[in-house]
Amino acid sequence: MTSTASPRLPPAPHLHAALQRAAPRATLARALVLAASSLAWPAWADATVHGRWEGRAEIAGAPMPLVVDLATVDGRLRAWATFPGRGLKGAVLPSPRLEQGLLLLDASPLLAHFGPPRAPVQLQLAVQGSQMTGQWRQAGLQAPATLVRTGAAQPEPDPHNTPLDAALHGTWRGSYAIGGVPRQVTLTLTRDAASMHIVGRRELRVRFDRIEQGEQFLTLVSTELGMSLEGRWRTASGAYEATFVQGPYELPLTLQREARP
Amino acid sequence: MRAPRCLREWFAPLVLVAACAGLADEALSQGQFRGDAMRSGASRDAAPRAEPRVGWRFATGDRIVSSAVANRGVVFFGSDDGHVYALDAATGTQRWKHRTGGPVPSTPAVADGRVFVASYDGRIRALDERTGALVWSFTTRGERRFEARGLHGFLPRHQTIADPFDVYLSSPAVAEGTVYIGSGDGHVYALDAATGLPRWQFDTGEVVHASPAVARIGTGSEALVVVGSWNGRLFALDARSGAERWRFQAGVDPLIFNQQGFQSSPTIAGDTVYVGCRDAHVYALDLASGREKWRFSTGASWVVSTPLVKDGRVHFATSDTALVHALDAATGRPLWQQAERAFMFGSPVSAGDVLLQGVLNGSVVALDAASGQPLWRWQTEAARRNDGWVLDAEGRFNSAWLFASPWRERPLAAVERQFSVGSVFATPLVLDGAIYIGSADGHFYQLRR
Repeated sequence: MTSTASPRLPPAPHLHAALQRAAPRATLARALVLAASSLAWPAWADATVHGRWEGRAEIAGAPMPLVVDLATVDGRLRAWATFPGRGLKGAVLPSPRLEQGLLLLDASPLLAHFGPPRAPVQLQLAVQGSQMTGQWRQAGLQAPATLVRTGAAQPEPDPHNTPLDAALHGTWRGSYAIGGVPRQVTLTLTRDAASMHIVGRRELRVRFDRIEQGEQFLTLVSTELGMSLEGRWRTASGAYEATFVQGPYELPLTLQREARP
Repeated sequence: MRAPRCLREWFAPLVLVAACAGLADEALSQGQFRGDAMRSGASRDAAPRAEPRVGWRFATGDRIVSSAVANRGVVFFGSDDGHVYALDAATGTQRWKHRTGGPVPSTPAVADGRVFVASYDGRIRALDERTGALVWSFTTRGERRFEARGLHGFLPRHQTIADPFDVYLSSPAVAEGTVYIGSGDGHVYALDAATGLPRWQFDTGEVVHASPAVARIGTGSEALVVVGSWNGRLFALDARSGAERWRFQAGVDPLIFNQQGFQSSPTIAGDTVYVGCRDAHVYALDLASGREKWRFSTGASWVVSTPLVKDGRVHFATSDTALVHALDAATGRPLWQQAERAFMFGSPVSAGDVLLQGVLNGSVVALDAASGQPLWRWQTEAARRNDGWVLDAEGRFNSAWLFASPWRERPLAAVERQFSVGSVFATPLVLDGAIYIGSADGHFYQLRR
């Protein structure tokens, strides 16, 4: 296994020069600069990791290719992962952290389709110029990982939800059954949000993170729950005739809009 | 048929008494899947309470799903490499092997100097117990795995998919000169043990890979063959004529066919049939009428393992919830449950005061039969190596890692990878203090103190 010791980032050129000029001055000043830099790694330091990084994790018997894009967007370091063969392209890695030359990427949400992972899924990499080395961690296991910078970052554009027409706002109700168990569904739509309340043997509240409205078509997706509604809405009849996907199940679901007061 | 064999196969308690009384011929015989035609699952020998070591291991050419049976110091089992093997139990030396026309995930039965076994070429064979030479073979309408559209939620939804978890073939039950066995062609066959000629056949309508259990009703002369089909129906058939006496309908799952089907074989104890089902229940039914006495829900977890009934308790293992359960045999009331680390398809065996259970993460676990407390856990080398991170650090299946996509062949390949850690599908055999077990790593092991 590769050591996880974290070599420090080489100081950015202007900081390095500043430190050299300050050399004869009081050590306190230098300490203050270092303390400040460690409290909040400045955005310009993030630039040292910008780019597209490609490599692999050396999992015994099944090496795993890794592609990571790193860029600063709106003053914040952002990361996207592409795992060839795992159905993930440009998936957002939440809250990447660069701390004293050590890049920490959390991939837990990307492998949460069987529920929250028991152990964090992480890439922990020491940055050394155009190479990063460290560990890929998953399921309590770890394997050495190496990535090299192959070019500029190719960030994935953020998906944009569609504001919903006023004609759709309100409460929609319907029902479906899986395994003989009936479920009552209440869908609530507002301009910027869509949520669903399902009551069967248990209750489930779903908040859709993807909302796309076309001229007659409405698509709602909960990435977290693997749930979606996709179908046609009809103003005249007040019906939303959708195909409902819940995990492995796919079935028709018609929701009727509740009469407005 | 000779009376002693009839007694041995249909009156297990008498057999145990007889064995204890010193019938040397019986003392080493474990001739059928789970011991006898009632699938009792109670070994006459005690298993070690401390972790055993590998006494010997024998390499075959493919995974071993079949359980082993034994007679007169020889163990018999099938391998998915297409052979039936006979090994010296003490040394692991090969006595003979017989080549069939396909994988052999069926547990052989030994009776009257013959070894009866099914294989994926759709044939049921009788081999000479001493030499492995073919005595007869019977050709069914052909083997196949259970298949359904959108099975388990695999995609595309409208594609018919063969079930990668349908790993077993039916194992023969031999009683009164008749071999009873199920087939992927949906039939239950009764064959003359001497000639292989069919006595009757019964169409269940769907794949039968569970193994039939055979027992008399009370002290009467009528015997029933009880077996489940993948359509969720459990049938009781007259052993002589094949006429249906009753049927029991368990749950069905018309959307993804996940919570459906009898893969578990029934166990008959006294006047009760105990059977697990993929509909996430264990059922206790009256043998004579099929009337439900009680049912136990496991949540949404399959019960593939064949229940063990001993000392008033029913033991069985589950798949997804990975629990070994003990229930009160009379009421179905839970007594204890012990969490394991991975799916269990194999059946628990009682050996002295120890329960042995194979686990699909490539291990065999031993539990205290009374309390369920773990005694030891033995792992295959493949499980310890854990290539490709099939298991997580705790020995559970690393499902989030393995099942990257539900599309086309990807989930099927992921299932196969799960088995690569040496999954133990088989039911352990205990003989003379040693444990005999095959693994999906292709090895057959003797474990002993």
